[in-house]
Order: sequence, then structure tokens, then C-alpha cells
Amino acid sequence: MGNPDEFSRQALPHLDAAHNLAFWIVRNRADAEDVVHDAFLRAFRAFGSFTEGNIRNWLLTIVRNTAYTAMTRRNRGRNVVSIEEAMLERAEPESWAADEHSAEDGLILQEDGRRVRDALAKLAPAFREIIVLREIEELAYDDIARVLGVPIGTVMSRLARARSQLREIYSGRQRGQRDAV
Amino acid sequence: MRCEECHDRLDEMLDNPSQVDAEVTAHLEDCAVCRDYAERERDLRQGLKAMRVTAGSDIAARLDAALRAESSNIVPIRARAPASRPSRIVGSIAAVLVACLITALATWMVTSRHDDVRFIAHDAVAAHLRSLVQDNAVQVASSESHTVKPWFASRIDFSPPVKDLVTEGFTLAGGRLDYVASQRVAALVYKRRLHTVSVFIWPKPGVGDTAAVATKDNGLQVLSWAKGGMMFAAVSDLNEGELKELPGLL
Repeated sequence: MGNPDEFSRQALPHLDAAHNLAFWIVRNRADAEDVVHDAFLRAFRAFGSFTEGNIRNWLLTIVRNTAYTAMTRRNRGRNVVSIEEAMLERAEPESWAADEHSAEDGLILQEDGRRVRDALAKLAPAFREIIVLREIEELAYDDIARVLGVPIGTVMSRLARARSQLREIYSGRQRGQRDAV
Repeated sequence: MRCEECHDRLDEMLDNPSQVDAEVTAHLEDCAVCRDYAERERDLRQGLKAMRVTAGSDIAARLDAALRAESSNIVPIRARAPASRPSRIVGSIAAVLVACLITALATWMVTSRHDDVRFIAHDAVAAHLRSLVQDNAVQVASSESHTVKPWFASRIDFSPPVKDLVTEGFTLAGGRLDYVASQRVAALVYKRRLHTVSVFIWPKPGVGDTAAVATKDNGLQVLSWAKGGMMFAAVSDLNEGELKELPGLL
């Protein structure tokens, strides 16, 4: 278990990274805070068994698992068949209106930023999390592999597909706006 | 360099800004389409950096309080988490087994009530009363045990002790077949003054001799006992003291 001071000293610097990942998985600030809280308590209880390796990777792994568990619980009763299926499905635009989101994330964004945010929000969850880890948290490929629990080759191919989907959504939107203008 | 290849290598270059790909840089000089693509790609990546949704300032404080509460109430996770589910399953199995046991026990008790004194007494009283409302309580009317005993021999597969107890005050009126304790039994009918006594006799393998147990049912006296591998149940409106002479005589 370990003592809380030592755990806080090592874990709290990664609180923002953990929250960011949680937010982009559950896409709701209140749920993200619950996930982070829950995940850090779990991590604290298991802190004794954490002996070596990168504590950030370890924490992000726990946060990710906690977030998906929370999602499953939340989606139970809705028509979600499985996590894998849900992860590869594009988020429906209506599930997250842009206005709702800006109130959710508290990000103060210019027009360009809003476009990026909406594109990221529309990505399939599996793609969204890998973009978050790579582009926002700037994790190395092997760290991403450890957090997601997949081989590094999978990380690279999934990242490439995630980028092309993101690009598609982003430029599709941009083109649409140009047409409108 | 083809534009497609340029896009792929541009991705790699943007991933590792320290490694400049000279061929890609050269292609971007020449190709306006790829320059445009690279520009948008940089914008997108730059835009993504701004998407960091950081934790609210109160999370750290709440977390710290929770950690302290947790550490003052130490329950090792290993001991807690995995234990809950198997123990619930074991609990369910135990509950089912207990339910099965109770059901089996109840069934056994119901079926074994055939031996229950009260159950036999009830049967015996019913048979006795039924015989009294008939025109004739006996199928073979004789005070002669040598007439009654052979009559039974052709009808049941055991030989009940038949004695004429006229000197002891019980006059044999005859015998009949009846049904007590879920089986065919021999019924002897004795008269004592105006009272009728029915004695039901049936074999029960392995039963040891027992003293007579007296019960009362509908105001009638019932005595049941075992002797010589046979079960006896005597019913009458006689008083208990007089009826109790019977077990010693038969």
C-alpha cells in the first residue's frame, strides 16, 4: 500500500495527464473527475505492488481501465454491444453537440481550435485515446504500447489510421466551411 | 518522390522534430499540394496540443483527503477484491444445498410418518369407527381362534396371533381385513361387555418389542405396541386401564 505522502509525491504530477486521458474517453468533466479519483485510489491501494517502471504509464493504464469500466456501466442498457465495437465506432455527432462540449471541457478556443476539438470528439474512442496519448500527452510509441497493452506495431498502425480518420474529419469540415463561405 | 510517400515520411518527421528528412524537405519546396498538406498537418497537431483538459484545482485536494482516509483504514486490496465474488458463489451453492437438505428432510419426515404413533392411531381409529357403522364389523364371525386364524391364512401373507381371551374378559367376535399404516392388516374384533375392541396387526420386519403407548383420538383409547416382529394397534371406547390388559394377553 505505501504511505500517502510518497504516493502523492510520485503520482500527483501526472494528475493532469490522467484527467486529460479520462476526459477524452468519457467526454464529460464530472465523470472524468470521478474516474481519476477512483483510479488514483485504486493505484494507491496497489502502490505496494508497483515496483519498477514508469509510474505515469502505470497510472494511465489504471485510468484507462477505470474510464472504460465507467463507460460500460454508463452504457449498460443502451444499445452498446461490446467495448471493442464501441471503440471502433465513430462517435455520432449528435451525441455531442459542439456547444455542449465547450461548456464541458472549459477550453477557450478560437474558431480553428473548435474545429480540431470537434474532429477529435468525433473520432472512434480507440483512435481518440491514441491521438490523446501521442499528440497531447506526447508519449513515446513504446509508452503508448504499455498503456494500451498492445504491441508497438499495433500502436503505429492504429496511430496511422487514427491520424487519417482525424485528417478526414478535420479537412472534410474545413472544406464544408469553405463551400459555405 | 511521390506525394503519398511524402505524406507518410512527413508524419514520421513531425513525430521526431529532431530528425529532419532532407528528401521530404526538398519535395515540399517543389510541391505546393504537399506544402499545403504539411501546413494543415502542422496546424492540426498544433491545434491538438491545445486540447488538453486538465484537472480542476480541487481534485488534488480531494484526492489527498481520500488517500489519507484510505491509509488510516488499511484493507489490502488483494484480500478484499478477489474474495468477494467466489465467496458469493460459495454462499449461493451452500444456500441451494441447505434448501435441498431441508426439502429432503421434510420429504423423509412426511414419508416416515407411517411409523409415527399418532399417524397409526389416526388410521386405526378411522378403521375402527368405519367398522362400527357397517352392519357387521367382522368378515369372519367366530369366537373360535382356530376358525379365524385359517381365514386370515388365505388372505394375507402373514399369520397374526389370534387368541380367544374369553377367560380374561375379552370375547373374540371375529376378524376382518383392514387398511392401516398404508398396508393391509389383520383386524381382530373383541367384545368386552358392550364395548367393541379392534386390534390391528401387521408385520414389521426387524422391529423390537416395545411397551404400549397410549394415545387418545376422538375420545377413543388407542394403544400401540410391537411384539415378536408384529405391530399392534388396539382401539376401543373402553377405559385405558382395561384396554391396557390386552398387550400382555396377545
